[in-house]
Amino acid sequence: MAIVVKNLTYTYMKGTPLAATALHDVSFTIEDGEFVGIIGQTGSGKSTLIQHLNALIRPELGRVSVDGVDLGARKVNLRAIREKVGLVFQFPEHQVFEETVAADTAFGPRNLGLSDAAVARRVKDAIAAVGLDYEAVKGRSPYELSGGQLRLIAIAGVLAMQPRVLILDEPTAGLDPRGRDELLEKIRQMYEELGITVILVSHNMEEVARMVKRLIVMHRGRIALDGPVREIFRQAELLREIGLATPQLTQLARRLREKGLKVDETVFTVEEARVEILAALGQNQARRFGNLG
Amino acid sequence: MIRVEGLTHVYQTRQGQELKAVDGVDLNIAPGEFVAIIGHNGSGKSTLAKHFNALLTPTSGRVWVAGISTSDAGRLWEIRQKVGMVFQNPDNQIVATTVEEDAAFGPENLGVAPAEIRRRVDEALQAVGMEEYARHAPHLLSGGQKQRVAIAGVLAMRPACIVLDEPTAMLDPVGREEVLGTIKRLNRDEGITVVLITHFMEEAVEAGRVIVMENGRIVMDGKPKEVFSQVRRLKELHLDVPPITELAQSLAREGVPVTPDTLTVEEMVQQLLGN
Ligand SMILES: Nc1ncnc2c1ncn2[C@@H]1O[C@H](COP(=O)(O)OP(=O)(O)OP(=O)(O)O)[C@@H](O)[C@H]1O
Ligand SMILES: Nc1ncnc2c1ncn2[C@@H]1O[C@H](COP(=O)(O)OP(=O)(O)OP(=O)(O)O)[C@@H](O)[C@H]1O
Ligand SMILES: [Mg+2]
Ligand SMILES: [Mg+2]
Repeated sequence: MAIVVKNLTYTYMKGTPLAATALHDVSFTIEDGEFVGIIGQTGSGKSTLIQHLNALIRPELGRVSVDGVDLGARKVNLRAIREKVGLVFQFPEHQVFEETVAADTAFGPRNLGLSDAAVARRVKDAIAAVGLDYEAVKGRSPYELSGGQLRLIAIAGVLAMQPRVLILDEPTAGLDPRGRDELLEKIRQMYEELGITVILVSHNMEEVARMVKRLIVMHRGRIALDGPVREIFRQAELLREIGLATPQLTQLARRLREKGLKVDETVFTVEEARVEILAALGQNQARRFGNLG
Repeated sequence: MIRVEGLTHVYQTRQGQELKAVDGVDLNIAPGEFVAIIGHNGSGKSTLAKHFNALLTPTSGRVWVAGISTSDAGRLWEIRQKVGMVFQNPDNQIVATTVEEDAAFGPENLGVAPAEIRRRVDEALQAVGMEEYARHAPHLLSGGQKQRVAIAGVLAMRPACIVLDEPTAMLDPVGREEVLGTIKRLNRDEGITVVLITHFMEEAVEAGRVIVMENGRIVMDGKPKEVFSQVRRLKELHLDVPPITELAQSLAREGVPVTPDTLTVEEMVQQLLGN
């Protein structure tokens, strides 16, 4: 069931000279329990697309459904959809509005009609889950935080809702390397333990390579590629043409291959690259010195 | 260009707490330098940078920009003319209703002649690849597009020094390369002093000097190769090295002849295979 998008087209400022068609005839299905990455050039339509998935933008042309519920239907229960599908915005400033960090994180769970005690527990857990010190930040205004801390609070607010589908729009932009790794680990853990569906929009190729199985590549409002992440990062030229790149170590493997070293060109991690390079160098050595043996 | 002596900045929170965000920083940035500042979330990078164009003034200590003290309220305008700042959130920077008016705002305020403004705006929008969007409304752009417009606005002012607070956080890989290329070109060809705050280690390696902040203090300051060869120390500070550097170190441990301060793909290819 899960999420079905069919022939979705969306135009901002329709009928004005500035009309911009942000999505052209986009179709895909995301099954329950998938972990999907979305990449694409700046302005390619990623944020527009995911805002359709929790009905922040209603489908104009084409269809979007979540668990069989048509989000274009006039009488759709928006509240039920937004409880199920949690969306972390690209700009945390668009999401955070309460006076204190604790009140802000409590906003979502309180609307779910939970008891005060349950809300308080969720707030504490969510703030800890994003790696912040609850006692230190709870009474602060969200605007008395650093850029990265504010983003973490915006994420905590959505985690506290415990949505079945978690959509994150560039969640690690502005996080330091450790904070980024810890957050991604946390998301992976929630994905595995709770069996939720995760959609991760990112400009960080290392990150999607590491996290997702399936990757959707957007280009000028259309889906350019959709498939297993390794297959997609094999298409380095195409990705470059559309403003993207492959992870740094994938680039290295490719350069080494071009120069004759037999390494797999889809390595992503340091460990994979180390193993491949050692094996290939070993073979070269063996070939070079084989007749001495 | 920028001189900082004993700078401490204490925020007063609405609950009446005091929060020391910058703690006794001394720093000298010479004209024409390209300095990257890295450090974990909340380490004080943005707070420090906001002192470079007098958006914040010291709680104690002093900051001079081109010899002018930033505490000299009468000369604020001169300081802002010399140091242009691109904020962490581009939304905070948007002032006009079209992209080109937005980019023209700075030079207009400096009293630049209209023909010259036109030229600068066109150039700046081109430098960030946003000329197609000149007549669009900036608040209706995608995240990365807004970031580019914010950078164009500062470029059009032609300041002697540009301070960029995570300017590429929301750009795609090619966009990041382009913006970084523009920054490097301005630094190299026009001698503009650049201060770049970033969480991308691959970007920091491009600077001439890397400063690491922790808890409001400067804890490392050196050439990229000096700083990034200290993997363990960086990891303690919530930072990292580029994946290629980490790979170099792990290959070196296995006896492969690569240096542990390898920073780029090309350096690695060279060392592994020669020419
Ligand atoms: N509110 C809006 N009004 C008009 N046009 C818009 C609006 N939001 C986005 N657009 C345009 O729609 C297109 C797609 O924007 P979208 O924000 O979906 O891109 P994106 O892939 O998320 O980009 P980024 O990586 O920069 O965040 C862009 O060309 C953008 O200028
Ligand atoms: N307006 C404010 N009022 C009170 N405290 C603040 C304010 N702005 C920042 N802080 C605090 O000061 C410290 C330094 O913040 P700063 O924004 O300088 O960090 P940063 O290094 O830029 O972090 P990031 O990488 O997340 O952007 C943090 O602990 C932050 O919570
Ligand atoms: Mg976006
Ligand atoms: Mg900051």
